[in-house]
Amino acid sequence: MKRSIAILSLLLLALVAGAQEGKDIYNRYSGRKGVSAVYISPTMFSMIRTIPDIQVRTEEVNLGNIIKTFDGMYILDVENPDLASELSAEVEKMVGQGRYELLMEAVEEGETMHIYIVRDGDTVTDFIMLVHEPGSASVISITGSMPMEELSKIVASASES
Amino acid sequence: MKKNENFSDAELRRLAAASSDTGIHVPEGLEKDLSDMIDSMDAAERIIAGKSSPARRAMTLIMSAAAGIILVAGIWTAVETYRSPEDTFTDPEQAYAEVERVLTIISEKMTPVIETADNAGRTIGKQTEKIRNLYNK
Repeated sequence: MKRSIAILSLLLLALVAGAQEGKDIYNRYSGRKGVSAVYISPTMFSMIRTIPDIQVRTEEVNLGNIIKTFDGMYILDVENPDLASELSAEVEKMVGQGRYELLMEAVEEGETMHIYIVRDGDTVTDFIMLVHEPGSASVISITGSMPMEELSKIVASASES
Repeated sequence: MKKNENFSDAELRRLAAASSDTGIHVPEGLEKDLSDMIDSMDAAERIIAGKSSPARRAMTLIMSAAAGIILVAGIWTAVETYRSPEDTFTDPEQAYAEVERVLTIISEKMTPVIETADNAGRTIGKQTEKIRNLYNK
C-alpha cells in the first residue's frame, strides 16, 4: 500500500513537472491583477473553420488559410512589472527545456521580442511570441498544425505592410 | 564442547576434526563477515518482533498524514494544470477578429526584423559588388 502511494505520488509529480506548458502558465496568470488574458479553444477554432470565405484585412496576403490550421491560442498581457518579469522568466524556462527552437529575436530600445517554435518536419505545432518591455510583458501562444509555408505568409504580410 | 541435539556424536566429531585441520584454507575476513551477518539478522529480528512505542506510533501517524496532504496537494495541482480555461469568446466571428488582430500584432513585431535583415542584405550586396568590380578591373 505504502509502495503504491509512493509510486502514485512520483507519477503525479512527473506528470505535473512535464506539463509546464502554455496552458499551465495561462491558468496561473489569468485572472490576476494587471493581467489581460485571452483564450481561444480548439472547439472555437473548429467553429471558426466553418465561417464561410474567411478574409483578412491584408489584401495581398490571405491569412485565412493559416488561421484554419490553428487549434488553440493563449494570450497574456501583463502590465505589472514584477509579474511581467516573472512571466518572462517562466516562458524562457519553458522554451529553454529543449523542445522549442528560436525562430526570431529582436532587441530595440529596451524592448525584446523572441519567437519560438516547435517543428515536426515542415509543420509548426507550437508558436510562442514573447515581448518584454520595461514594466510589461506579452505572450502569444498558438498551437496547431501550421505548414512552414503558411507561417512565412505572416512574414510576407509584415514586409508588405 | 556443548552438545547439540541437531547433530549426532559422529557428526560433531567430524566437525571438530575439520575445524582443527590447518590444511583447510579459511578465507580472510570470513569470521568477521559471519559475525556481522549474524548481528544484522539479530537486529532485523528485533525490529520485526519489537512492539512499537507510543512515540513511534505518533511518528507513523504524522508521517501518514503528511503523505496524505502531499498526495491531495499533488492531485489538486495536477487538476489545476490540466484544467482547460474558459473560452474568452462565445461568438466565432469575434474570436476570428481577435485571431486576425493577433496576427497583425505578430506581423508588426516582425516588420523591424525583416527590414533590418533586408537592409543588411542590401549592404552586403553593395559591398560584394564593389569587391567584384575591383577584381574585374
